[in-house]
Amino acid sequence: MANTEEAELEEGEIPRAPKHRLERAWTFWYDNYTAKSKQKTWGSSLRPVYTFSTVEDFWGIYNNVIQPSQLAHGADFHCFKAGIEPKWEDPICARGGKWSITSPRGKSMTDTLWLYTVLAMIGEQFTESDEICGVVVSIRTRLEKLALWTKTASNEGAQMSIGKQWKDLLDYHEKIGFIAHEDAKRDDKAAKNKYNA
Amino acid sequence: EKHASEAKVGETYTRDFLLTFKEQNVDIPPDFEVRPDIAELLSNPQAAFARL
Repeated sequence: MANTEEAELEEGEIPRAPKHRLERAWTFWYDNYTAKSKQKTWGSSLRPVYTFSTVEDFWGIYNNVIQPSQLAHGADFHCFKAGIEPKWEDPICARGGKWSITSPRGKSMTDTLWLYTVLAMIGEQFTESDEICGVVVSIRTRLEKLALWTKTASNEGAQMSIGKQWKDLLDYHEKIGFIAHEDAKRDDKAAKNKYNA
Repeated sequence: EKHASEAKVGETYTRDFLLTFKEQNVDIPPDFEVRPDIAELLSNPQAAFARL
């Protein structure tokens, strides 16, 4: 008698091809500022959505969630390496920083840039892939922001390589800046770029 | 497979290769947990909840 899996196939049915494994697992996270009450601290509505480790499961989620540009104002949608929480306090992110692309609301290629960034990460296209933490797309009233989080802000070589590669992968030609999380924490919106690409 | 490398750098896939899987994988993964707190993210929450 054939084993169960084989026995379940109808005559002429082709067995499903094995899924394509990614180098590592990734987690989608979701957060929405405006949905929070004022008593709650920042980050308290941050929640994991799904962890995937195959090409097929990535598309299964991508094809069933709305595009970033359709998210509510105040929403953040993240794709981070599994095991890393998309916040400053995460031990792996703590000494890191982020490269950012900011565009006016509704006039940008944010959806495409988001997809291409996620595909580059999960396909391990960055030379310094160990330095990558994840990417977050943030929708605000007037702007849309994409931020690529990395691990070691002090490693100028790695950050410059990632910044330049990110622009190449997205075919993006405007200037982008890198802000270290510790500078952002201290200076808030006045934080200066540590690096430019 | 030309685009998937199994060298010691690990599994790398180009954007073009990954994009070829987009149209074939339209169903939510079976182990995806549909929850009210993420319903606003879904393009068709009714259908997602209906499969529970």
